[in-house]
Amino acid sequence: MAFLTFSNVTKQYGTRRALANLTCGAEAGRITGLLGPNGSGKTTMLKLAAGLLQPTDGEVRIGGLVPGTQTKACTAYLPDRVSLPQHFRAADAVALFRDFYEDFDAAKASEMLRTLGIEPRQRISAMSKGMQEKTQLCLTMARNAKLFLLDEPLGGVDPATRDYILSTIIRGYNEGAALVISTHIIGDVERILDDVLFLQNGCVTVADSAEHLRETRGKSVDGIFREVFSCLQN
Amino acid sequence: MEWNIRADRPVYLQLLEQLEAAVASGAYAPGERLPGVRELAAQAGVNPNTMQRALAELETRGLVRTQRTAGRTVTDDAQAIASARRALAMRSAREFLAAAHALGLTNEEAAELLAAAIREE
Amino acid sequence: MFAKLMKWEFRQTARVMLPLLGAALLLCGGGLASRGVLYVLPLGPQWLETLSALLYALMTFVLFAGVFVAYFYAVIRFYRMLGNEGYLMLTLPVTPAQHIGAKLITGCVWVAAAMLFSLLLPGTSFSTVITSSDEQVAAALSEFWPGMPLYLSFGLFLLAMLFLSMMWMYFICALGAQWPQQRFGATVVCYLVTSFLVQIVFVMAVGVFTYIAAYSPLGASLYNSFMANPTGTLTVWMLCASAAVAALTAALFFIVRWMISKRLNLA
Repeated sequence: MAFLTFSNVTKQYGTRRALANLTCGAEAGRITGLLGPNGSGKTTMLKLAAGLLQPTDGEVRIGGLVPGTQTKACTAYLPDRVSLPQHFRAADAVALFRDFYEDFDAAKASEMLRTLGIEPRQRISAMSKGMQEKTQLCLTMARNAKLFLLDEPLGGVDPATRDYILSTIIRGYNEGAALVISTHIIGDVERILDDVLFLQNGCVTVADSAEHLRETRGKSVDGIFREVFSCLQN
Repeated sequence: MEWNIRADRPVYLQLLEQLEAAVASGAYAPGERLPGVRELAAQAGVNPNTMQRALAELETRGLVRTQRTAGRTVTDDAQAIASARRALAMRSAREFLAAAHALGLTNEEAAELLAAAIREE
Repeated sequence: MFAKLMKWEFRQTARVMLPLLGAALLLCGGGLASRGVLYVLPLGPQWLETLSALLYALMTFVLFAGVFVAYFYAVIRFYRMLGNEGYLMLTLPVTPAQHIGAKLITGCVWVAAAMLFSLLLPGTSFSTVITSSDEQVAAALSEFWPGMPLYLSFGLFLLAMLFLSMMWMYFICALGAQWPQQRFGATVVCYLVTSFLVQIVFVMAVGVFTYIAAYSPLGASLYNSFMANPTGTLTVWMLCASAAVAALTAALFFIVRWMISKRLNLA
């Protein structure tokens, strides 16, 4: 039984159907990649799991529970934008996480921030966008959560930062946890993935382990992705 | 230890090959303590579960040992390392031969090329 | 969790409000000191009197600003929670009801505090305690005492109205958030439209009320009870009005809670 499950989930925004009868899961102890082009519904899926959206139909379950305060306590969500209040200092953000999340490792977070060269008294507004995103990442990965939801963590960053983010994710995440990364830039991320889910027009079209895909199709996941999605465009 | 993991081949196989090569060449010295799975995975930029699989296979092949207190260490067994080295070199040799055949060379021509390359050094 | 949330709300709002209220206190102290010196030296210099008046004027201004800032900062904070900050705040293990409640209470407390400061600080129009003698204070108290229930119920009514108006602004923010891509514009439009509608409803209600009061038996009996015991009747009416306002506030609370739980799509 997967830790995070989507069962026949449909999400409709007015006339636009973002997710259509979608069924899939993310296993505990494994890193799952949610791969699809922009607008395929990846962010919608993560927001549903994070409890920021309600499905129009179907069910999302985390450890058997519907997303709510109980699941939020064990879910670490990294959105695709900076959500820390601009007037916060780095230390305030650490204090907030420490106060509200029992599974937060404040020492680890402070250590990670110090390694990045972020002073506790530094204001979020005084940091560059890249620094703000790294701060968010550190806070998220310093949690011993059971489910990690990372929305486009590598969006628009330079290669060195990308390596930093990937190694932070590998080093930081809780071993028994389920970790879901959504991205449309597959080449950078695929080597750290256990399982992959291809998302097309609100449906999961491929659900397999990355290694099995490489063995059976003799290509990288990125190569398979291009194949699958170029068919649509032709 | 330089990792070169490509995405178009199973990562597990590449990890195994490169770990074996590291032990065989002495990049990881005999008896040297290996970093933890997570750390190795982070260095190689790969999934920890896959790294774990590769390390477990390495243990089965006798190239690393797990000790209760010290974690994973490279074997002290010089013979095991030597045979691993030979096996890897043999694989390279086979690859060279296959490449030569693909270019249309005979075995004798391939052997002559190898001798010539050695003389060049 | 709610206690933690309240602590955070207060801390965040205090960093704006405490300086303001503190400044008012300082100005008041300065004004008092100048006057005190004046009273000790009956032939005090003219400029001390001017200084005292100036400080009191500044203090009044600061308190005035304080009430406004307390109110609008609370609304801005709620508005921000439905933006990028929502990705952080609404994924905390806290229910929407707790979020709304914490912000509502904190916001209203600061507005009420600023208003109380305005009422009670010496140098403001209501307070002449410092300059009055004990007999004058006792006489004033005994004059005010019989009307206490009415004043208290009126105070309660004002407090209820404060909560209602804050909750109403939160409702408008939640409504505007239904258009995540044009949230600011949508919120402004919602504010204008709902204000207009509320005014129409209010005018109609006044009309209905006047009709009832003037032409119906109910109106007559209300008039009689008012004439018999003005203070008592008004007190009862104030209490009823407060209850009605509280019920309205509660209704809005549940509506906003529903909107945030089930109908929210952060941009």
